Amino acid sequence: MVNWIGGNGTLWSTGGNWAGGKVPQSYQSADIAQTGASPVLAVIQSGQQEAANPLVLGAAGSTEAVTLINDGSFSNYGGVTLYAGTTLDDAGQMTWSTGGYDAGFVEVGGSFSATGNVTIAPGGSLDIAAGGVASVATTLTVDGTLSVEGTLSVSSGVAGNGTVVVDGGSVNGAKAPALAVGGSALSFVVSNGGSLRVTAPAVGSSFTLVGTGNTLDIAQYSGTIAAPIVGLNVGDAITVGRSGNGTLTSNGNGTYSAVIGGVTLTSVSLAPGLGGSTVTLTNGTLSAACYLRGTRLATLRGEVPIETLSEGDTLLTADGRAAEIRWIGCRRYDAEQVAASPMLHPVLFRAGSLGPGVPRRDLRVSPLHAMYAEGMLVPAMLLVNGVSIVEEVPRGGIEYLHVELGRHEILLAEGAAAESFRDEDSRGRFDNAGTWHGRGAEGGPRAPKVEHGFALEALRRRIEARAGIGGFEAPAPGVLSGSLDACAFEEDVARIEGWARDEHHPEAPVCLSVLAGGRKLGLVLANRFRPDLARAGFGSGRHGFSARLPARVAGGLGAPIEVRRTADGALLAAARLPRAA
Amino acid sequence: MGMMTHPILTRTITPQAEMTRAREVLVGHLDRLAPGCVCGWARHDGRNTRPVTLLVLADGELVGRVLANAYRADLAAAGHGFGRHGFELEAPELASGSVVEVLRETDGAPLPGGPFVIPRAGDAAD
Repeated sequence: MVNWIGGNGTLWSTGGNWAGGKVPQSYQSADIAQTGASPVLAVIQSGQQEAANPLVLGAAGSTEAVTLINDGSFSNYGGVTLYAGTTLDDAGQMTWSTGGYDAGFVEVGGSFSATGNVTIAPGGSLDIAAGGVASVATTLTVDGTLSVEGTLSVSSGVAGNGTVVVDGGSVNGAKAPALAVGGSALSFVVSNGGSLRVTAPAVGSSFTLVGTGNTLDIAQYSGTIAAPIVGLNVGDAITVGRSGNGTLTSNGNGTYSAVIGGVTLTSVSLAPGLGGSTVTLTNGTLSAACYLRGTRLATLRGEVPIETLSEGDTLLTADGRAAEIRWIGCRRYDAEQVAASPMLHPVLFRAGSLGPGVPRRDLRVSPLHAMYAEGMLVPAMLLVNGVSIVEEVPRGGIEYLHVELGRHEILLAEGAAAESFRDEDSRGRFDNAGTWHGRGAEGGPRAPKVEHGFALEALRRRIEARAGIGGFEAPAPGVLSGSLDACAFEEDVARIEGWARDEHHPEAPVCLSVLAGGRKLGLVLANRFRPDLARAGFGSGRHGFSARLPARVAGGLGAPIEVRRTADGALLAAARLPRAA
Repeated sequence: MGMMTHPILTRTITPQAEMTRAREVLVGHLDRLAPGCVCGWARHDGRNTRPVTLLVLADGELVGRVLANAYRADLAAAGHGFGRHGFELEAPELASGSVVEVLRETDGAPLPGGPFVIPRAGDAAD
């Protein structure tokens, strides 16, 4: 074992950087770890050839700032281990498997990036541990095993005849470009909630889904995918580039064909215990958005359990109108399906969780069912707080029901406002989809669906306050100082100018809101360099701001202009625009 | 206006403040950086699962202020609270070659790995 001691520049090829004064030989272990507090950087220069058996960056159980840059050529005869915090940046050539030696391996717990070709030879492996991040800018050839618990992105594509295991990690995550699968016979295994995004797979490839909650994202827009997809389960998602219902048709040999939004998958087999008739695909996803059996809905004759309602019954909407039921969808899931898929577990809103007496009794809906509050439709799962609103894990099977009216409506379920059914390619998930008469809810949704942002957070905080949940607060901003130096017309354009800074975080740019007569005009960032501030000792002097105000302000001459810190509304300054000359 | 506080007087850091700061490490990742769009996740380190407000700058100009509170199944699975720490910002100012900074609003702490450069079309990724 040869340990890096440093102290003589950053070059690998400098013997004085290594204990014993000599560069590691190809049969020696090269260990680069932090010896003190300072980060370690080692560089293999362009044109240089180095080798080790094995290479170890950092140390087990600690996080170390160690970076190795390879601009030359590097051979690992025993593999590479990158512990947490470390980075191997390969812009040159790296190989980690050669005949005559043990097949190499790379274990990534830190960060690995390669712009050169990367080949995993038969018997070799590249393991990206949970938390590890790897990126390969060229084609990755997998003839051995690639195992991903962390994150991998590959720009060019993946080829070879080996196995790719995505175990809870992600390969080319949802927003990344789809991974080109050029290999003639690559096997993919996606397990434990893993996510894999690929372009149209080659015929020789196969995709095996293990457990549930896995995502196979096939970004093909139309056509036929013949690669077998094995083990599709409730809770798994197959996403294609188009939306649409999926239907499964038996191929007569234990496999099914599925058509989703114009894309045909010719060989799908299901997880044990599932039959073709028990599975529906919605954009390839098995999910539910409904009321649990037993939920009482407000009707003109009082509150009635949903399962006792019929078509033609009249419901009472949250805004007090009568609305006739056009269709009732129902769907049963057995205990096994429920156990396997968190997306089927009901969300329990405890009585009083949303407001005084709202809901009146405990209310259970499916995770994606939208609740209505403060002008927003919010999927129930996004309101779970672990105290007053919780995920329930039922022991047995469950039955969900949904009601469809002449249009999308806000109903009262146990006294709480929640949506009626609206078909977003989701009718097919009901057992009784065939009983629909073809007359459904018309028009768009009643309110915007909100899944993130400030308004949703405010709603959550009000619900948490009702439940007495305190807990952590975001770090508070510090004392605000600064001034509004100008608030005037310049050639008919209203302008403001000034500076602001947070005395506790003096180099953080301050986001300011500009208001006129209490109305928000926009945001401006105080991060512009002002020499006067720098001269006066205000750090880097990057605290200035200036903004043109929208033309409509000029119409409201004399309007009071306020500049406030956006984070907490603290007032920086107020002024009035002068009357224009 | 012109209320000025002398910087030296206000920069006293008490041990208490230091402890608070140590808990306030920003963790997260920029998952996608492309013209017109950035997305990723961010949260305060430790047990604080309150969402983080982020400022997104392109070449020093503010292009957006977003709350990182979108649900992501992968974050929930990884034990980050309820998994509500995702963010996404779409803005035309995010052009090829722009230098993008993603900062926590309250203290300017940068998202790990930043600043980021939006790749030009045809560039090999890093």
